[in-house]
Amino acid sequence: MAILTTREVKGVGFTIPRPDGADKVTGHTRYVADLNPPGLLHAKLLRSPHAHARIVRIDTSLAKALPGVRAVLTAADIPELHPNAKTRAHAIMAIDRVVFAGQPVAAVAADELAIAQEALDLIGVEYELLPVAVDALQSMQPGAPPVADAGTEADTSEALAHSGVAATESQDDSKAVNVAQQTRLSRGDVAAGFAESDVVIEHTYRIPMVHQGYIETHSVLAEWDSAGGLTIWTSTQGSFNTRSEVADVLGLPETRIKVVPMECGGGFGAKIRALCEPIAALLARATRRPVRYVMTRREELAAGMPAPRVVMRVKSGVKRDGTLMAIEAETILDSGAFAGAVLTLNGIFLASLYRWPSFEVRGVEVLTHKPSIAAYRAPTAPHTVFAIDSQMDRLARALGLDPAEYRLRHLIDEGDPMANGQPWQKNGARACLERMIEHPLWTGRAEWAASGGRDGRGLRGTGLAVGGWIPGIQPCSATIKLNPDGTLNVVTGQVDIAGTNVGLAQIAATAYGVDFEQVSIVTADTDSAPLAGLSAGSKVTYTMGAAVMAAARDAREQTFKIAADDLEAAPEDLEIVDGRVVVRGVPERSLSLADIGKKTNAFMSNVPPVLGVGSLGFSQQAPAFAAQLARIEVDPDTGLVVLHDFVAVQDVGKAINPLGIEGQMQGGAVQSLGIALTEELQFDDDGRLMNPSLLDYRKLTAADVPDIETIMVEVPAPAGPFGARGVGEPPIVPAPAAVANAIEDATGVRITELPLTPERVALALLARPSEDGLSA
Amino acid sequence: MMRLSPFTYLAPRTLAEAADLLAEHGRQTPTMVVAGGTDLFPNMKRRQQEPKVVIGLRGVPELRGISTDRDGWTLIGATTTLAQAARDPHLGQQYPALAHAAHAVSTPHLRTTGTLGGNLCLDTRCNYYDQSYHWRKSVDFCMKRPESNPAAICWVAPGSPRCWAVSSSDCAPVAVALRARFRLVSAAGERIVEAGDFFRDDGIEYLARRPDEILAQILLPPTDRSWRTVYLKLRRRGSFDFPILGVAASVKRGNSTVEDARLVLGAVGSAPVDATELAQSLIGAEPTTEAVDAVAAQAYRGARPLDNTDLNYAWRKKMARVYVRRALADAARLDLHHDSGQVGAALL
Repeated sequence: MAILTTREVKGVGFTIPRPDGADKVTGHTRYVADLNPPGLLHAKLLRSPHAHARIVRIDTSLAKALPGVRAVLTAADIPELHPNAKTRAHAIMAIDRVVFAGQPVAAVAADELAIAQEALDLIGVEYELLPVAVDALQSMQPGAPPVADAGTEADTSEALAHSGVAATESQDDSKAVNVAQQTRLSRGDVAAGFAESDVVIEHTYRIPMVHQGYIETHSVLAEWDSAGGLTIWTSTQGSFNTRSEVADVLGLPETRIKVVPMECGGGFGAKIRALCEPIAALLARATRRPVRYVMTRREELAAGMPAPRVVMRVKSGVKRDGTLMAIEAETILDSGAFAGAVLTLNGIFLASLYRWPSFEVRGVEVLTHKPSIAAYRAPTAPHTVFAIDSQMDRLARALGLDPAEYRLRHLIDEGDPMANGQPWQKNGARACLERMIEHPLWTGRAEWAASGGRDGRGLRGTGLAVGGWIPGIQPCSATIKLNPDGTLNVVTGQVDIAGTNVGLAQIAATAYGVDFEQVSIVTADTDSAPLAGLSAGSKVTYTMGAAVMAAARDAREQTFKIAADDLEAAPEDLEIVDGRVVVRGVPERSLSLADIGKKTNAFMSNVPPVLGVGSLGFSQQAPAFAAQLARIEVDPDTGLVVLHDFVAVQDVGKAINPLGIEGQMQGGAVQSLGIALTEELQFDDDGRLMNPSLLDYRKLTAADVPDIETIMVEVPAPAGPFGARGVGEPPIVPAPAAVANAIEDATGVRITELPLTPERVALALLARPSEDGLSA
Repeated sequence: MMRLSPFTYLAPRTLAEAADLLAEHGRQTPTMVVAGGTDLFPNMKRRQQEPKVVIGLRGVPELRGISTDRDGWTLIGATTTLAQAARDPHLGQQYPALAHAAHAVSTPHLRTTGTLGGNLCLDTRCNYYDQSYHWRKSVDFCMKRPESNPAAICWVAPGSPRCWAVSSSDCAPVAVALRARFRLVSAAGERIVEAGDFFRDDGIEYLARRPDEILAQILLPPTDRSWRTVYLKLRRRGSFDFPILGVAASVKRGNSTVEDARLVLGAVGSAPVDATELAQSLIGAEPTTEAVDAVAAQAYRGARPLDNTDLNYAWRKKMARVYVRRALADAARLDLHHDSGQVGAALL
């Protein structure tokens, strides 16, 4: 897209540290938990210890009598609460049946947190235990204990919110119990494809539930005014989305609700949907006081909204020369107690990340008595790519082909059909892989392998994987105004969860023609900001960046119009140089931006203020890919895997702020490596979480992660601002496959279940097959 | 975060005062001493322990610091922090395995607060015990902390008459291997116990310390360069995690032969498991890989890991063999490189 600036400014492409970084690392940033309005009450929720039980009786009388307790609410006190809740937000509290351990059954607001905590102990709940369906395979069986109330409609809005890829055909007939959603994608004659294949490989891949692990737990503060208006200060990835959802749950017009998006200490998809806002609002209504609710880490792990457990059986067949013939896959996605999974993209990546001429890919979303899921950074893509990339690696090894070249030969390109029939848009999947193949750690992999297994070293291997995501789109708008001192203010309703405001300032600066220091980005509340979408789906820069760019160009035109009158020149002959509007080629005829700004704010002036508006809808998504490489060492006696080196290559379209992108690439890689190596929510047979603390739910530490080398490639997105594409999600995708591939490279064993624990590696080493498990 | 229940905090200035306070309050009400608090306070938040009186030892200068006496013993005050122990030059030179074990505990933050004495007295751990009050209540509690349920069972071994919570101290197996002694002080007097007698193989009554006694000092016998002690810790991550296996091995070598050997396994039972008797088969001969393997093949049988910590317990038991082999070989200055032709050999 052509840009009208004629002079270089400090804007797009500059490496700029986050201005909010110092406040964050020194504890000065104010989060919801730091707000202390006068009269503040503290909320606690009593949560069910049982995964499936009937609530026979709740006695809150003792709790209500405790001095300092201002309200105790149960389902009976909430007229807005209905059975058949379609989302977690709507299911504010269990009505007469709890469906996962950790589901709220009562809520307390008290003068102090300790009093609220004490009050929870005084609430008597009698439960009648019911049979539990913890595992999705059991849960699908006829006669399995039901999770949702009979007649509940599955909620697919998450899938739509996260990615606009058209849904696959849905099979509503003959739904088994607890099956919320079924999809099927197919093309060609799969049976014939397998019949003509020389090599067929089949594996079942298993990935447990993992938690997003944001530092700030879910936090909300709610207060009503005397006119019946509700204000919510919250840690959210989308203030307008939260407003709509709370309005729907509480039956209020959206104009009666103001959502103030606070600094968000991480979301990764789990703060898209409302979770605690409704109950905080109800407690505030009941007490007529501001009420704050902050989840504990334990509550987060046991009753947050983690990523689903996914089981995929994948069978693929190829010719001896490597030609892809057919792929068949079945995915069982365990969503916990409420539906809402992004199932379609699992099928699309399984069937059409590589050019399979025939495929049949079926998926089911199953409900179980576990906490319900939410998005987690490219939801299901790390899972899916773990399966499909492992398959490709195995096929290449079975055929004696170079695994990277093999992928490159069959990887999709622009115009290839996706499994849903739409064409792949222009993307950098191949560019990422081509760049990685040149990397010395890849070209030197044979030397690395040869250096292992002697002189006290473990077995050494190198693995790579390629994967990505199809980022979302959502309409959005922004305004930009010229201030009397010549600076610019951009106003959006877009929550900055990733340093995106820096990038927006850079875009505004370049598009308008000033240095980025002259631009300030304000994230306004839902009363003041123009509509904005979620900060999710890797789309803030792609969509809001475009809106800010449009607003800045609009403001620039308005500025030139004002200057043109004053300088007696045509607007098209003007340019901005060092904060002045100058007639091109006649530097002495100029006007400073401050002069223009003052004219638009002077008493008795007739010059209209500069107010640029960008308001856009989008139709074109820009797929975003990454390739990652892991160089590892395996202790053959213990199965312990040590990461020595890690390289991330990513197509960013255009690097607006390379430093911010590097942070995304590294942060995503660390989360990806955690999924690969250590993370797992462990439930017992009764659906009780066994590891509800960060001691036992193992995120990787600085001691476990090597330096992560980042390499950006730029394949411009046709509709992205300056060619930029989404960068947040791709880096979490490839590592599990890359590490599993490296383990096979080092040891010859293939692990198909995450996390890649030492016991799994050691047991696989013990059971090393004499043959490679191939069937002809 | 979870909240602490109310309690009275007493801050004595001398060890005698601390012992008197413990005797006085301990007679009437649940009373505990605390040093760093990195184990006790989280436990109190989870209501695994609910003392009404807590006696803080941080203000007692005589409990801190590292010194030597004229007989060549090294004396370590029990409230010496793990960070101090880890970086102490004298310990690093004379007892590097203890310094290493102290360094292997938890995280840098906790080591600056947690103490050596605290780590030695660390409450035994179990997946069913190290949970919040409400979590434990949902399974009707367990026998280590039965609360209101007199019939509470052991969830790891439901038919078991005893508790199988795991000794998870990194320093304990090293202290036993070094033949350390502990000075216990009470209002009634003081006594010295062998480290090996301090730990009891019971998840509940895991220490031989009487309730009125304070662990005041760790006494390390003189050593010399003929001894080499090694501590190997198995855990999932490079920080935070408690050991799921710890092996301390000490070997004294003469010119070529082994003169003495000790072997202690941690985190495989409710107390460190002293397998020194097995290790002593090395004595009198030049150490060989085969001899070390033979000890390992016997010693790991003494490990009784159960399904109550991280990762699969059958795998952990196998790892005891691998780690004993490596620790003993290292302590015996034996070069033990794995060989690519023997992948997983140690497991078989």
